[in-house]
Amino acid sequence: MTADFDAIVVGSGMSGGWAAKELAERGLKTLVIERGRHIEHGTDYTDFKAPWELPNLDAVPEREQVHYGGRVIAASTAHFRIKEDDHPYSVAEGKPFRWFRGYHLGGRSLMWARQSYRMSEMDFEANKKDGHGNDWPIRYADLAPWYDHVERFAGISGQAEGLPQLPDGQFQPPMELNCVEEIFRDRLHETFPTRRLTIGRCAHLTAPTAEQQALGRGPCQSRSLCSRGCSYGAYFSSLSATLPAARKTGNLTIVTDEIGHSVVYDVATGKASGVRVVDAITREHRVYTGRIIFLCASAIGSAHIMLNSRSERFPTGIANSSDMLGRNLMDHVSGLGAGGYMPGYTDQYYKGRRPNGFYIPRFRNVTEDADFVRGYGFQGGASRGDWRRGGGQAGIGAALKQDLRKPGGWSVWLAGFGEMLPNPDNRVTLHPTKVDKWGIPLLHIDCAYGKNDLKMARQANRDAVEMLQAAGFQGVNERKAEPDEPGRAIHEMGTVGMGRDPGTSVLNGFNQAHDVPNLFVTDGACMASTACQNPSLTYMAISARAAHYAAEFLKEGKI
Amino acid sequence: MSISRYSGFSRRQLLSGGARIAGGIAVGGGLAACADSAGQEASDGLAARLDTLTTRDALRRPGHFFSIAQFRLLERISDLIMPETDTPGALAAGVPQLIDRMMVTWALPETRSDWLAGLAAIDARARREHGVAFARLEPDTQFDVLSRHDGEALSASDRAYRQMKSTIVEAYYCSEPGATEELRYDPVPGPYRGCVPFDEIGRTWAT
Repeated sequence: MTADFDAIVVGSGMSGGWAAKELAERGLKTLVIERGRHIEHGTDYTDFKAPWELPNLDAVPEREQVHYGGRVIAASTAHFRIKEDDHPYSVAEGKPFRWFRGYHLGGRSLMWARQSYRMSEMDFEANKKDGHGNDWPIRYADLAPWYDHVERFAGISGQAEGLPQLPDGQFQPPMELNCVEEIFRDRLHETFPTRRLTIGRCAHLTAPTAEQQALGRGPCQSRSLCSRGCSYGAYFSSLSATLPAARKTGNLTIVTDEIGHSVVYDVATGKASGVRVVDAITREHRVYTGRIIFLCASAIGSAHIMLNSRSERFPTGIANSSDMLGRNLMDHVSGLGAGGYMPGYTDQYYKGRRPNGFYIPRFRNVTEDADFVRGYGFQGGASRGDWRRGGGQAGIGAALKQDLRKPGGWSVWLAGFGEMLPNPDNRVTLHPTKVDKWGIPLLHIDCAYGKNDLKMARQANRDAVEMLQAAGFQGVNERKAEPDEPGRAIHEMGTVGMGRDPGTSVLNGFNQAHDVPNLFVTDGACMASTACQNPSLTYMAISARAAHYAAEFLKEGKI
Repeated sequence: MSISRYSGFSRRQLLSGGARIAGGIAVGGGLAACADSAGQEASDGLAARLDTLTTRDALRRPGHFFSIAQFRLLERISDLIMPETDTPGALAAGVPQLIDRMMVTWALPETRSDWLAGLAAIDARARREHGVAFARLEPDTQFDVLSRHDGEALSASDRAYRQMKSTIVEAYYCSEPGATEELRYDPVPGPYRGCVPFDEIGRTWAT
């Protein structure tokens, strides 16, 4: 049977872009299916609008906020936000979960915070060592060359630190810390010799390579308008980097406004034969056939498609003989941390709007003990107050104007991101009765933090407060006592986990479904644990690696 | 884009809807279609109940939210909060017009009510303390009344006033003169420099 395509990739974001690039570069005719609309790099961005060119002070009209969960949305970024009432999901009673989505070409690679950290050997060993979750079927050494590969192409700026818990990578020159951040770093290192503060490692070009320049990408201009899309292509996204590279091969086809409905299973071959889609506009169904299928539709999205891929062989969803499909949903424990202000240093300022902060890598259960397993890292930043303080401070007239001509004092924030343990009871399922406007069953999310997660959160707050106080910050307060609800870190993972045992996991060490050898899942769904680092870089490396092996297996006639 | 200094509207200009402010914010014309008629009615009902704001309250310009009296009051408050100094102030920056437009195209009825209540509270203070509408006070007295209102309303976490003041401040510093003349505006800074003496920059960054 002749397939329409050699490879089908569902999703065009962080993982899908990488899968498409690597598959197309290996000569495979590759189809990318995106459920959202087309976005043209550059022309569809709003990053050249000055503040006074944005109507309504850049706020989405109040009556439209209902589409965004009642939130105030910048109108200049609303083109990357779904109208949530068009895309409902349900949650278990008393267990809130926020599911942020990016339904457009490029997905959340246009919306991410661009922080890029490697997982370490201790992260890949953690499940095995403390018995939570499935042992990862890969180790750091399996992924290290692929981290190198994706960092060189994507462009990650950062400072090498030689830390075992946060391996160094192929870095472009680091961005600078500002004065107060340097003071914080020095005092932190003095008080806590085993804790480190380093500049954030972020997917922004600071010294573009020839390969990056050939794709039309230039260095970061410190405008901090990333969330509107970057016409300079300075930050990594599917639109600035992977999809253009895939397109250069001549092997890429992209369809947009087509919603992944299910993977079609061929009982005769024991393989997936294609992907059924629903046209988002006409609601027509069609099937694309392909020799290998990559699901890169986001952790929850890929699980959703698989759960909806029901057949006689797989009545509860494709490749679900283990009953693990949809289980072990995780996010990072977030909302933790503290803030404070630093008196003085008013003769010091900075130039540019750095789209990056600093990072304090994990120290709990690395160099310092804890009464919980795993740990957390902190992102943070220091800056001076701007004119916004004028709205809430007493005083009017020329004196107020004169005061706001000078920047305000220095303040700092720390935000912890903790490792949430895998728990098979945290899961997504198909809603038994409700369907969306395309007739696809809604997703039901049942997820809550466990004891370890909450214990960790409390310690993260204490550590944040203690570090700021030790460094001389004043007015130090923890951000909030309890973490945000899961989903808020927008680092959802698990649901189609990797593992060694087909009886307890869905994917093997090549991200290949144990039950369906030509089906691969390489987005956050595949993660057997979350570590505490921002995960996108790992999705990139895992996607590139899986694409490499999938192409090899296909060539060798194994799948 | 040129910025014309504010010279004040004549009442006739306001009534004819022919007023225009340069500086990026066009007013009048074409807005009527955007008005949310239901919200307008709700706000009108509230305005009618606010007996402190009766002067010419019924006079409205098509496509605008605030009555002429309300708009005059908003202009004075904007001007008092962000006056012209050695750089243009809120009036030259078109702040009152921007806020009026936001009421029409952006705000929900509750927010519009907040604004009317916020304006009415300032007028009420003038009447209580001086027996006349805020607009009829001498500029120095207006400054004195608004200064005290500002301090008390902010320390009492008065939502309507806090919203009014922060919007006026934001609208001013996001305007072209506010960002580029009053503060420092650098649309494309290039590589970030972390430690720069403040004297080298001289003023707060606008963005």
